[in-house]
Amino acid sequence: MTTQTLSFYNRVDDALRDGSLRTALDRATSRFIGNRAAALAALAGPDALRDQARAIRAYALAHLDELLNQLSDNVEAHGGRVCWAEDGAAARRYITDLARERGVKSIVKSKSMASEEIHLNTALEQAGIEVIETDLGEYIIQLANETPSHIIAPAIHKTREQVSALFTQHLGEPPTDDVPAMTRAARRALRQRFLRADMGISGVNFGVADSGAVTVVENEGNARLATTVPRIHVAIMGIERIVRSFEDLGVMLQVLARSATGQKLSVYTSIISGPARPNESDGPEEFHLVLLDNGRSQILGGKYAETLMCIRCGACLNICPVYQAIGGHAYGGVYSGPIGAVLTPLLQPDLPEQHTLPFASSLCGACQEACPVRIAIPDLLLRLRADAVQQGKAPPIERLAMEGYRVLMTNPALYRASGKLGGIASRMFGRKRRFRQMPPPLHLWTRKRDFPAFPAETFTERWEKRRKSDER
Amino acid sequence: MTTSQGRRVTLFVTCIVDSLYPQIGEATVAILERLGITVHVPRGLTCCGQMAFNVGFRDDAYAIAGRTIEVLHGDDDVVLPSGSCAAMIRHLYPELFADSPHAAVAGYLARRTYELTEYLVDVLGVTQVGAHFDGAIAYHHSCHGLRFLGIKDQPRKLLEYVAGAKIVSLAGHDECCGFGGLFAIKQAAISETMLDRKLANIAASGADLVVMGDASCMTQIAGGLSRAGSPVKARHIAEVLANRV
Amino acid sequence: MNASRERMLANIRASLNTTRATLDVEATRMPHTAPPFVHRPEDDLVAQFAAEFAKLEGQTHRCADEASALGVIADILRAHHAPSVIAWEHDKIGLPGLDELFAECGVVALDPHIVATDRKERLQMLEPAPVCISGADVGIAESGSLLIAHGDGKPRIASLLAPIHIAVLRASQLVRGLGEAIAQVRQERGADLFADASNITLITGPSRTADIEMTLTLGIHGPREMHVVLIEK
Repeated sequence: MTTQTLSFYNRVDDALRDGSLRTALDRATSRFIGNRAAALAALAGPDALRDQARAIRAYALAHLDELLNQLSDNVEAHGGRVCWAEDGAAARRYITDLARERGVKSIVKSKSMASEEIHLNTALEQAGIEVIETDLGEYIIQLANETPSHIIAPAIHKTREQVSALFTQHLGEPPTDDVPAMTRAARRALRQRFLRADMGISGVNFGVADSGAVTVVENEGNARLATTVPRIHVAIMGIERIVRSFEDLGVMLQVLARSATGQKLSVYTSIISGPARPNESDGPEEFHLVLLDNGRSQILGGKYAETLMCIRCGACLNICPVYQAIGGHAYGGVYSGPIGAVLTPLLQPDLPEQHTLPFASSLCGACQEACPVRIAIPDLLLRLRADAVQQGKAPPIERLAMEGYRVLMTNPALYRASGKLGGIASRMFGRKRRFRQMPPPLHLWTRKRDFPAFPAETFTERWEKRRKSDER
Repeated sequence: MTTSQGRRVTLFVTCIVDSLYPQIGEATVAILERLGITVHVPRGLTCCGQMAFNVGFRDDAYAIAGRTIEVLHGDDDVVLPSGSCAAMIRHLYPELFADSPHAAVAGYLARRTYELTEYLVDVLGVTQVGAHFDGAIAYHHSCHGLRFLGIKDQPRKLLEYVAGAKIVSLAGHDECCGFGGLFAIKQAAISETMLDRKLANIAASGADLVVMGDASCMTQIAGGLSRAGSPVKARHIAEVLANRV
Repeated sequence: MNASRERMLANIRASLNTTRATLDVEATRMPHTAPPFVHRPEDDLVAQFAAEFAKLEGQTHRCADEASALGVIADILRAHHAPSVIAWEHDKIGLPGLDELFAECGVVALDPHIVATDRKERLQMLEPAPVCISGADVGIAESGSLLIAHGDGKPRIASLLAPIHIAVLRASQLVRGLGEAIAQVRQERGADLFADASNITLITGPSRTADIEMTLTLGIHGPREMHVVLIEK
């Protein structure tokens, strides 16, 4: 957790120095990228499916009020209860109160970014309730007392040696470098947690309005267990994670699996509505759906509304050269990578330095290209940068530099003179037609890169000469 | 196919070419004139304003870009030897000038603005420009041209007709070099890491020349190659296309 | 209607006053219903399903008739020396002769009811079962998936709790893609999909994880071994 307290730049420097992190990131992201590309290429119409997905998400946002009402009414009609939580505090209160009232001692959780966003585990633990993350990656980072570094592969940054050490320390397992053996150890340890748990908490990939259902997508089976075995199931869902119908869901499931892991469908897709019915022999006796706003309804009304189309597939993380270099923790928030650089300032505006995150991008656009719903992430980053500047958060030296840049570029005479000056300076200082060192802040350029010397004549000067000789 | 003879284009070489790489501007002129096109360079052109826009200084970008759209008035097609600056005009000017008195003019400019290789291939239908280069060429796709203008095959089509050149494949040819405007300074450590990867791929490609469509990426890549003492040279595609025996 | 619900809806509506029109334009650009299938369709759905399922590390047992299906199941039970199984009600599996088969193999079908006051004790009784047996409602050829509409006599744990899962499927239940499967479920169940049951699950291969160093491992929480007994008659 110490990474949270460092500044963004320190976290970046630490990440770049961490050799094993870089190896792990390279291995994971290149595999994800390859699988995703192959899965999309195999489709009869990859663009059509993505365009459908975007239209479905746009519809869901445009009709969010109706769809949430429909979802809520249908869940209740099927015997479930719904909590409309305006913020994280309301959601935490509802779930901890429920757990207390029902005498819950132990909770198993399947992966939920929304619960990370509102720090639900901390609240439950403070209430004296044991909370166990059951997704293998989440379990590992819970043992390590860390936060997820990737939306769909939370322990992407951990090596097998580090995992083995954690299992030795916490589970008393003998050290091993055999991954299947570690997986079996985790299965054994977690199996009893499931069977003894009083409550299961899951995230929601998609609410389905017309069915009054929540959809939970996973590969391991831990979400099926958490939503089937304990007596109470609580699902927590960001209000925007909704689709109109079962038919719409069919598109989203196929797009999500391919974008996230390159699978045609994830191993398990559970579509759940309400508690077990009287004629059912398993499933929970109580079902609760927490609809979390936490700033989303505000985002919906402005220039960042498109952000809410995100389906949390992680494709933009994998493809991003910045994420590949620094990993998820450097971003400092719950959400990392390009979409995290957009989401964190919007959803966690109180986080220190969140305004610097939108600058952690070269604006190369690979994220938008990879996004299954084509969110214009670079445009959103640019708007967030403009907001940060308007709020006076730009460094003074940058403000000064931009002032100078504007004066220069709006005064052609000055601009021409500076070109001449550049040429003169280059002849004075630029040895062998390049600069190997420059004064601050440009020294950051020349740490590892030469800078070209300015030419004796700019293009404008050469063109003027030609024009004059043509006139003669 | 449109004939190029007798056409007139307005050339915007961009501030970085103007002040650092005048030879790229001259090469662009040479290619266009070779095709019988009259090249017009308006007086007083400076910069598209992207550097300010990209770091959030929209007022400054507005002031610079506002001047630029005035200088670029008229009906000529506007050609830039830069995917990035062309994308600024085509993709971002409409947002910058939305709800402003310049919205219509900016929109009209956006519709008649082209990056050099897309202008040659898509508008003029030209792929053979009579160029020559002896050696192995690898092509690096500049991000903004590739992803915001859709410039994917045009450069390769042009390079295939360069006599004497052997086109070699470049791993990660569509990955960012790490320049990103002020990103290269503000996030220098990340930018350097991205550049390292690009340099390793270039070294592995066996190319004598790594060619690209943006002087900005070229500053980053050439700066890295030069510091590393690499024998590989970085060139703008206009320089290669203008080169004759 | 509670106050927080009203406030959230009011906030959403206030926001949508500015953005609904733009979003609605985007929403109408494409149809929303899932296409019947997304890959090039193949003629032989049984072969396609088996090939896709094999890619997922699942095993398809192609059986000419019910007798050979029973034989396959007996072989799996014997190979694992299964003393007990967790199974659907036998008529829901849709394979006559299972009662006799279990008797022959000396296998006890455990009571899968866990909705009871002694829930945790019942779960402890079920946990040691090495094999679970279910039917399926639809098989999806292009992804190697099973769609199971759980409910009366069709418990979820019969495809979940044990390390080995056997699913009985008929060739006539195969469709080309997820879109077709969804259309079929909709036709059978009508507007309220969950009128009398709480769960529909898609299963696409054995439980898997790659959370440690991206190394694929089967059976982390769900079954590590999955057999589809596919009756072609």
